[in-house]
Amino acid sequence: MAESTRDINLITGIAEEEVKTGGYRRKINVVVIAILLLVAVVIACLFGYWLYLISWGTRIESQTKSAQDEISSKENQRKEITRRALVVKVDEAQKFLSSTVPFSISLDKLIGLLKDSGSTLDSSKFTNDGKMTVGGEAPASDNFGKLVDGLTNEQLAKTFGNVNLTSLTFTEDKPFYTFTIDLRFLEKGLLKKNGGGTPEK
Amino acid sequence: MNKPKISLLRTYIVSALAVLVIILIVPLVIMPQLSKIREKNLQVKEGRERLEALKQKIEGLNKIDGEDESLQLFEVEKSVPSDKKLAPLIVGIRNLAGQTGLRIVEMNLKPGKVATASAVASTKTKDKTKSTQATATTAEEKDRLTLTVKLEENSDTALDKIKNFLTALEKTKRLLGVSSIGALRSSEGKTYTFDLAISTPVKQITSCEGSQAKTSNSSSCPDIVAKPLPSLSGDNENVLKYLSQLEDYTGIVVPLVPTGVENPFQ
Repeated sequence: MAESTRDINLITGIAEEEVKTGGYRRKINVVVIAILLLVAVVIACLFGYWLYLISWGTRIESQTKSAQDEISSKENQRKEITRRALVVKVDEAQKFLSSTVPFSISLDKLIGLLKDSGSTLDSSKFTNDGKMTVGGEAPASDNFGKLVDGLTNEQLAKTFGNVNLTSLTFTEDKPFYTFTIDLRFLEKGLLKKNGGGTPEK
Repeated sequence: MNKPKISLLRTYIVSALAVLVIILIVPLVIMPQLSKIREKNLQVKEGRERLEALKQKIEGLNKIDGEDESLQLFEVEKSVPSDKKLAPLIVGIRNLAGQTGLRIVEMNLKPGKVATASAVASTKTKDKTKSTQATATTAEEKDRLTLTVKLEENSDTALDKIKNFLTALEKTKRLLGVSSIGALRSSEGKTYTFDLAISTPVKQITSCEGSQAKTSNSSSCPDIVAKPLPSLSGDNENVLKYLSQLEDYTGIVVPLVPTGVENPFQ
C-alpha cells in the first residue's frame, strides 16, 4: 500500500513537469515563430525597398538621358557655347576695364595745373599702380607754389594724393626752379562707378 | 542529474537554433542589404539632383534668345578677341596717333610670356616652385598683349595731343589700356617724346569654358552637360552697354599675302 502511494506521488510529479515543459515549449515556439516572421518581414521590406530604389534609379536614368539629349541638341549646344563664351569675354572685359588706369584724366588735370602755374613739364613717368613722377621747371617760386597748391587742392583730393616734393633746385646758370614731385593718381577703372555703361567723355 | 539537462536541451533546441539563425541573419543578410540600400539611395539622390540641374538648364536654355546673344558675342569679340591678330591692332593705333597728330617713332610688341597652350604646360612644369603671385602674373600676361609705342611731337601742342590720344585710346572698341607712360622733353625743348606701354586683353575660350560637348567622365571638364548655365549679371549688362558705345578703330581688314613664295606682294 505504501509502495502504491509512493508510485502515485511520483507519477503526479512527472506529469506536472511534463505539462509545465510542454507549456513553455509552446510559448517559446510561438515567440520564436513570431520573431522569425518579423525578421522575414524586415528582410522582405529591405528587398522591396531596394527593388523600388532600382526602379526609381532606372526611371531617373531614362529621364536624365532624354534631358541630356535635349541639352545636346544642335540649337541648345549653340546657345550654351555662345552664352559661356559671352560671359567669359564680358568678365575679361570687365576685369580689364576696372584695372585700367584712366591716364587721360590724370594728364588732363596735370596739364591744366602746369598751364595755370606757368610751369613746364620736362619729364614724367606714370605707372598703372597710380605712381606718378613729375619733373619740370618753374620760372619763379610763385609759379612753383601755384603748382603745389593746385596738386594739393581739396578739389583734386580724390584725383591726386601723397604729393611729395622729391627735389627742388635753383642754380644761377639756369634762371628757373627745377623740381621733381612724386604723387599718386587715385582714380582707377574706365567704367563709371555708378554702372551707367557710358564711356567717360 | 544528466537526464533533466538533456531533456531541457531537447525542449529548447529548436528555439536556440532559431535564435542562432536570427543572430546570423543580421550580419549576413540584413547588414549587407542595408549597405546596398545606402549606396543605391546615394546613387538615386545624386541622379535626382543631376536631373534637377539638367531640367533647370533646359529651362534656362529655352529662355535664351540665341540670335541676340550671337550678335552680342560678335560685338564683344571685337573688344576682347580670341586671337592675337596684330595687323589690325598696329594699323588701328597708327591711325589713332595720326588722327590726334602724333608721330609714331617706334613700336615694339611683347606678345606675352605664355602664348600657346603647349607653352602653358611647359611654364607650369618649370615654374612649380615659383610663388602664387608669380603664377597669377603669368596667367594675366597670357591674356594680355603689350605694345610699346614711342611718339614724338613739337613741344607746343604735344601735351594736348597726347591727352587726346589717350582719351581716344580709352574709348576704342578693341579694349586698349595704358600700363605706363613716360614723357621726356628734348634738351632743346623743341619736342616731346612719349613712351607708352599699351596692353590689350586677349581671351581664348577653352573647351571647358565654351563647349558642352564633353562626357561627364572627363576629368578636365567635370560633367559639363549638367554644369549650370552662367548668367549675365547686371554688371555684365553694363559692360555690354559700355562696349557697344565704343568706337572701332581696329576693325580694319588687312589683306593677307601668300606665304612661301618668292615675292608675296605680287
